[in-house]
This record gives sequence, structure tokens and C-alpha cells, in this order.
Amino acid sequence: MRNTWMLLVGLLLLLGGCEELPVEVVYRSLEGKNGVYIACEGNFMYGNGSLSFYDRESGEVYNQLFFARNHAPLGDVPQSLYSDGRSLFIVVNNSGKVVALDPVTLQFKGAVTGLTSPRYIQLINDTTAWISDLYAGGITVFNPLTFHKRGFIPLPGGYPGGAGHPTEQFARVGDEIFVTCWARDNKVMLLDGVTAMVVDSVTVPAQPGAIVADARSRLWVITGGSYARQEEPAEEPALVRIDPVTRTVEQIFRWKGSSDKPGDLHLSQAGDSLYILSGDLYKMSILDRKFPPEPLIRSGQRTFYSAGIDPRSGEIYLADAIDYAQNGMVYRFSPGGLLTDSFRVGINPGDFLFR
Amino acid sequence: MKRGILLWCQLFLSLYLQAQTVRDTLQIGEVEVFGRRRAAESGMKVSRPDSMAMAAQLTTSLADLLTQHTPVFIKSYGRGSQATASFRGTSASHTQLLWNGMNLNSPMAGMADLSLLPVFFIDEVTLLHGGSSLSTGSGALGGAIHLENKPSWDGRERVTAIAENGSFGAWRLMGAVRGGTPRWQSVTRIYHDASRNNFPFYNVGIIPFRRDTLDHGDYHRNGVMQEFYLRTPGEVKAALRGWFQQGERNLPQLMSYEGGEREEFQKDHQWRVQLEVKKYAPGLSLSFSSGLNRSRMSYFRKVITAGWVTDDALNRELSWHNMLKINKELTSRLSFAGSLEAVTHQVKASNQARDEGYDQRRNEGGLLLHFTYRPSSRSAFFLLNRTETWDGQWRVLIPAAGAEWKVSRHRQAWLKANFTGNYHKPSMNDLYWIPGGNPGLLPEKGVTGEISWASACQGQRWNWRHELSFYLSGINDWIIWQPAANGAWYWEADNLRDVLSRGLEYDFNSTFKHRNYTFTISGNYALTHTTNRNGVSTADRSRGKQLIYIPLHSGHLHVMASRDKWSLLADLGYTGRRYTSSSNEWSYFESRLNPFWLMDLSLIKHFNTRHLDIGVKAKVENLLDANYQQVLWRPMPGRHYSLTLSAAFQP
Repeated sequence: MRNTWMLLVGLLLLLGGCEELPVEVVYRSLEGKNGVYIACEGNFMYGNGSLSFYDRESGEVYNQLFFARNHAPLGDVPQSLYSDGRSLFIVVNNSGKVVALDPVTLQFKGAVTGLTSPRYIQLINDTTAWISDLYAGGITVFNPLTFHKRGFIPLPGGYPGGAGHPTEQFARVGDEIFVTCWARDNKVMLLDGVTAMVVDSVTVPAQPGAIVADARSRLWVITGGSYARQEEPAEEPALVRIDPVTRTVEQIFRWKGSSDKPGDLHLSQAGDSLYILSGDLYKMSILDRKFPPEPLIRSGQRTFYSAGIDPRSGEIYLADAIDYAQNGMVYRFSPGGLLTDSFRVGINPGDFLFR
Repeated sequence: MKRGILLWCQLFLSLYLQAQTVRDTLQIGEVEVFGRRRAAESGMKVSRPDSMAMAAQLTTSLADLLTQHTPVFIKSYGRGSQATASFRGTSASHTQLLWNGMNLNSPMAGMADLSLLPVFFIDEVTLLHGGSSLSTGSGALGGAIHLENKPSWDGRERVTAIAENGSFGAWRLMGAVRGGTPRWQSVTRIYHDASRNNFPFYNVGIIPFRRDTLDHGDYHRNGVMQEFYLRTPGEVKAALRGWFQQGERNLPQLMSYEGGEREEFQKDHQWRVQLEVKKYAPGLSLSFSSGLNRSRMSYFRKVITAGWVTDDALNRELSWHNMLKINKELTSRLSFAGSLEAVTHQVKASNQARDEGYDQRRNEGGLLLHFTYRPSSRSAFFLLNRTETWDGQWRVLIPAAGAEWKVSRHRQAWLKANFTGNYHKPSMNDLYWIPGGNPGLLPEKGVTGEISWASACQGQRWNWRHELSFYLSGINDWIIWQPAANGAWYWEADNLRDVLSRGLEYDFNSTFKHRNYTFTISGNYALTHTTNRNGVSTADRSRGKQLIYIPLHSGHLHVMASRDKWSLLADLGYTGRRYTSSSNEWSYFESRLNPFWLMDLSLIKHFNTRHLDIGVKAKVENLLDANYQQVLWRPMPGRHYSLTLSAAFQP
């Protein structure tokens, strides 16, 4: 009997190993710091989204900032970031809310709650901002000063059974707001920013997501494509150029079936080039007639998940989700594609906002 | 041979003694445990929650029973919510659940929800750990759980009724009628389980923190099981069993949710019927069983404000299992067991709101050859191989070998070891789900070695039994769903991981008497070190790290003191830290999955007359009011109570 216990204790020690120590969460004010906020999505239904900040000058990185300052979790899947200068807004998709923070102290200021599946924010004017939503069938209007909801813009249509168009990303050309309609949809809706009325829509390939307006005020849209269903064949993703004046599709770049699919889309500092994340990162002039055959930055063994382009310097930030279940990496590149720094942030870094 | 059986009977005598002294709300027959265990279990790690455990958990689900009384880790999303089993650090799909030999794992998802299975419908639970599960089927890389229903041929009729009322509007009502003659038996069981499940908790997932109540956590379930048994003078036994149950549960949101009102629920309907015929002859038994397992699960989610139905899923599964088994004593020392299986699955899965799903059929076949050689009363060896086929693919060699040895002539002490290869087929969702299913998936492959030490001893007023096992297991081509590798917007299944699992399992029980008191102590402990062996890039910190949601340490202790017709039972459980990231990095932000202790206390009183046995049980769960989470940001109830009345009438 005694031998059994000794054997048991010995093997316990051998097999047990040491428990990992917690990562220290330290609050740091961002007073005087220039850098980039990074929304880390965490994992769907885990409620482990987080906020990171990278100081582009000192190279310091602060993780879990929301929790460190406010002692509460940010929520489930922080989808996107937006700042009007007075507040930093974090759209927390599967928590059905938009959280507002002081952009310097990161103190919780309030939240827009009761949302369905919020995705992105578009500021209309000082007292009006819009929130796109995957399942609300329209756009929620709120006051970015008080965080109170002020109204709702219904967008009837969309796929059968839905309550309206599932809205995604915004792009602004003058007073006109373009919004992509993603899930099982194929529209880019055009709304008047003053009257909040639907003006028109443009039909594009299946599932338009990311959208930007370039220096010539042309719109570029990534469409995610669709998979084969009983009644319809699969549709490959595409990059679509739209003339916002004539509201027509000018050009479509189609992806091949076997190639990596596009996800993120960004503009260069001057607005004359596009950065397209499609496995690797591609750079393409807005005047190009063909998609570039070679990438600017190869992913290699990395799993590029999202991208950000610093509007001040043109530097490129690429997030690596690794295995989607651990704290991700962010790689910082010069505008020419040379690696200058790398740092670790939260799980699934999905959006960048430069300060 | 007789001497060997006798020795084994002695080894497990403590179980029997314990069952005799402990009476909870129901008496459970356990006589057959001894005679049945040995022949096919030589060299294997097999365990059974004892009769005390079965009685203590009689009104709960299989998930609760296994959590408290076995080393199996149950990942539960809360009361009434989904609960899955993980043996030895493997995933839920690596645990196979069988009901009288018929596999109940969903062919669609590959796993079983143990929260839907009432202990009241089960007479015996047997766990086959690791590679030992190969003797009854493949795919259980972690282990297999066998649920059995058995007739009682004592010719006595018995009527049982149980009513339990608990906190948060919980009601459990159960009834059973058992009767017949020495030639035939009928057993009818029904149950109802419902709760508003609106327990209070302190919500630290939102700002400002506040006292909150769980919304949309209510559930209800109903079920009926009918069994008929027949035996003839010609040593033929037949069993016909039918089981229907249905349940509906609302699905609560995470603590951080502050969005619009959602309607989200799941409905489950399950029909099971099986026929079993056994023929016995000297040194030979033959059996044939055929069973249908049909399930219908619907999941619905609607955004109330927009009136948008975002999910409207209906999944229908139908499986037809057929098995022919033979057991034959070839010589006085060599025995053979073989089986031939044919299974067909039909799955129709659809989500109308998302236009997703599939309609597929899968045919499976299997052949088992299992030899056991006993050169002496103190030793035994086994060698088995399974050959399996599914949808035109073949796996010819799935081998296992093992041995056991009684180390001393005079002591009840046994050493067991086995080494097995195993594999697990991808589920039909893994293969066919649109979008993201991957028809090119490889089966997951596993190799396991284990060694166990079991011993027992007893005195005039006490007995003691324990078993300690060490295992080492490697699983390759572990299937994981994650965002599509090509960047497509949906998730897909792929063979991504190689996993190494090693650890130990320990369980014991003891009974001793002091004056008029009888004390029963039992417990278990599991050390589960299961780690990822491959990293996808240099930045990957998951290599060598514990898999998520698998605690390194977990264990339970049960102490019962009985005198006359009173019993006091204390259950103490410990669950170690669980990680939620593959790199095991965690911050105070995720401290909700810190280790926690749970303690339950029950006071039981029995009143007996000649024909009537009445039991009253008052129970306090989570006595210490521990604030804990099983799954991140899913609240769990604090201290809560239940009162159980049971009556067993025997003419």
C-alpha cells in the first residue's frame, strides 16, 4: 500500500507540471501616445474579446486594456472600431451593443444597447451616427454624444425570410452613404446622409462586404461569393469597382475557384492604391486593369486575418490569427513591405484604428 | 476457472457490501455485477459507478452521475443545457455512448448530449476506458459509456414513484412498474423533468455590475421507456425495449449580452427501439440484436424586434443497428468472442433560414475477433482485432492486446496492461455540412497504452478497494473546425492537430462499521495532461500546451454515514483551472475559470413497512455557495435546495 502511494505522488509531480501564470493586465493611459487601437475578436460565444493598443513610436503594446481600465469584459466578438475624436466606439457584435470609451483614459462612458447584430459605425454629423446590423433589417441611428438611439432606417428587401437587407460596411462620397449588404445579399445600398432615405442601390456579385472610396471617388467592393446550393451554383469572390455617380458597376475582378479568398480591403495613404488581403497581401493601383500576379507581402506560415494601413505613414499592419484560439500576432511593415516590428495582441485581431 | 471467478468476486466484494448497507431513495439490484464482469474484461480498464452512486443520482441526468462519480470530465453549459463527456482529455466526439450495445452518438455531430439521459432509465452504467472500448466498438479514442437495462427475474412486482421539488421551479417526477413471471418481465418507466431555471447571479460581465437573474434558461423533458423480457426453458432470452423522450430548452445568452430580445430554443425528440435475442448452450452463447435510433432536433433563433428568423434548423437522423455476437469457450483456458455489425445512418440536416444543410446516408460494417487466454487462475491475456468498413473505405487492422496478473497468491492485487490502436471516423457534419464540410477528411487515429493496479482487502468490519491507472495516448489528424484556410467567410473542418494525452485515474471505495454506524467513503481523481504536439508557425505557442477546457486536476470525494434508517451524505468535488486559449495564456480577465470546489449535502430518512419503502431526501447543492463557471461567461447557480420523496411498493 505504501509503495502505491509513493508511486502515485511521484507520478503526480512528474505528470502534473506547473500551471501557467496569468498574463499581467496593467492599465496605462494613452495620454500623448500615438499608435493604433486593435480590436481582438476573441472566439464566438466565448465572450473573450479584448482591446489592445500599440504605440507606434515606442513600440510598446498594451493588451486587455478595456478590462484593465474598467474591470469588466469587453464582450463577445468586438467587430470594429470607430472614433469621432471624443469617444472610441467598439462595436461588440455578439453582445448586441456598441461600447463608448474615452479614447485616452479608456474609461467606460456608456453603451448603445439593445442592438441585434451590430457590425460597423458611420459618423454622419456631430450628433448623428449610424450602426450597420446583420440581422436588424436596417440601420440604427444614435447620438454619439449621449449614446442614445434616435431612430432606425429600415431597408426592406434582402433574401426571403429576412427582415430587410443585412448591412455591413459603409463608405462616404459627399453626403451620400454607401453600405454593403452582406449575408446572402448582393446589393450596395445608397442612402442620403441628410435625409436618411434610400436613394438607390447597385447590384453586385454575391455577398458584398468590405468597401472603400478611393481618391477618384470610385467605390471598391470585395464580394465574398457563395457556395453551391440546390438551386444555384457557387459564385466566386470578386473585387468590384463602382461609379458612385452613375451608380453602375464599372469593373469586376473574379477570383479563381482554387485560389485563396479575399477578406480585407484598404486604401493606401494617398487613396491611389488598394491593399487586398487574400491569403497574402496584394497591392493594386486604382488604375490597374488587372489584378497583380504577385503579392506585396507573402503570408508564408502565417494566417493573415486582417490588415490596417496607417494613414500617417502608409505603414502596413497585418494580423496573424495563428490557430484562431490563442493570442494573435501583429506584423508591422514599411509601405514597401519590409518587416519592421512584430508584437502579440489578443485573440483574433480583426480591426485596426489609427490614432 | 472457478477459482479465478471466485477471486474476482472477492475483489469486488466491497461493492456488494456497500450496496447492502446503503439505501437511498431506491434499492438497486446489483447481484449480476460479479458473475458478468470477468470473461470479456481481462486486461481492460472497466469501471462502474456503484449502487450508492446510482441511487444518489437517481433523479438526475447521466451527465451529473458521471461528473460526480467517475474521472470523466463533463463539459456542461449549465443546468438543463448541453453536457458532453471527455475521457482522458479527448473531445466529446471521442466518447462513444451505447445503450444495450446500440450506439447513441449522433451520426451527424458525432457526440451525445448526456443532459438528455435520465439515470432513472438506466440500470447499470459501465465505463470502458481508453482502448478497452475496442471490445465493443471503434471510435472511442477516449472511452465508451455503456448504459444497460436488465430484467430482475426474482418474480416480484414492484411499483416505484419519485417526486422531487427543487429551487428555481424544478420538478422531477418519475415512476416505474416492474412485474411479470419467472418466464416474462415487463418494466415501464416514465419521467418528467422541468425547471424555470431562473437562478440569481451577480453579473460581472456588464457595466455597471448588477444582481441579475438568468433569463431564458428554462427547460422541460418527458420520457417513457418500455421493456419486455422473455426467457424460455430452452435457454433462450429475448428483450424488446422502446424508449421515447422529448425535451425543449430555451438557450440563455452570455453574461455580457446586452442586445435586443432574442427567441432561441432547441427541441429534441428521440425514439429508440431494439430487439435482442440470446441463445445459451454449454460453453456457448449467441445473440442477435437489431435497433432503430431516430432523432429529430430543431433549433430556432429569432430576433424579436426585427421579426427576423436567423436560424430555423431541423436535423433528422435515423440509424439502424444490427449485431450478431458469439461467445465460445474453445478450451478450458481459451475463449473467443466475435461480433458482426451492420449499421446504416440517414441524416437530413437543414437550416432553412440560412439555406444550409445536407442529406446523406452512410453505411458501416464491422467484424470483431477477440480471444482471451487464461493460462492460470492468476493470469489472463487477450488479443483482439476489429475490421471496419464505411462507405467503401476499409480499415482492416484495429488491434488491441492486453494482460492481467494477480501479483500474489494471497492478496487481492492485480496488475493490468493493454496496448491498442484505434481510429475515429469523421462525423457526417465534418464530411458533408454545406458550407465547410470536408469530404477529404481523414479518420482520426489513436494509439493508447495503459497500465493499472487494482487491489482490495477486507476485515471483519471494513473493506477497501482501489484502482490506479496510468495511460499514454497519441491522437493524430485531430479534426477541428476553424475559419476556412483559403480565407472564405465560412468555417471548415480539417485534420489539424496531433495530440498527446497522458495522465492517471484513481478511484477507491471503502466501507467500515463503528458501533451502530456504517461509513462509506468513495472517491476518484483524474490527472489529465493532454497537449497539442504540432504548431502551425513559429509564433504558435500552443505546442505542448493543455487543450482548452480540459482541467489538469479533477476529483470527487463522497462520504456517507448511516445509522438505522438515517443517512447523511456529503459530496465534495474539485475542478481545476481550465484554459480557453490554445496557448494557455490567461489573464485575470479570464479568472472565471479558476479552480473551484463544490459541496453537496444530503440527509436521507427511510420508513419501511412490509410492503412499502418510503424515502425522504433533503439536499443542499453548492453548500458553500461557490461562485464558479463551467464555461466562460455562463453563470452557474449558487446554493440551492431540493426535497425528494420516494415510495417503492412491493406486494
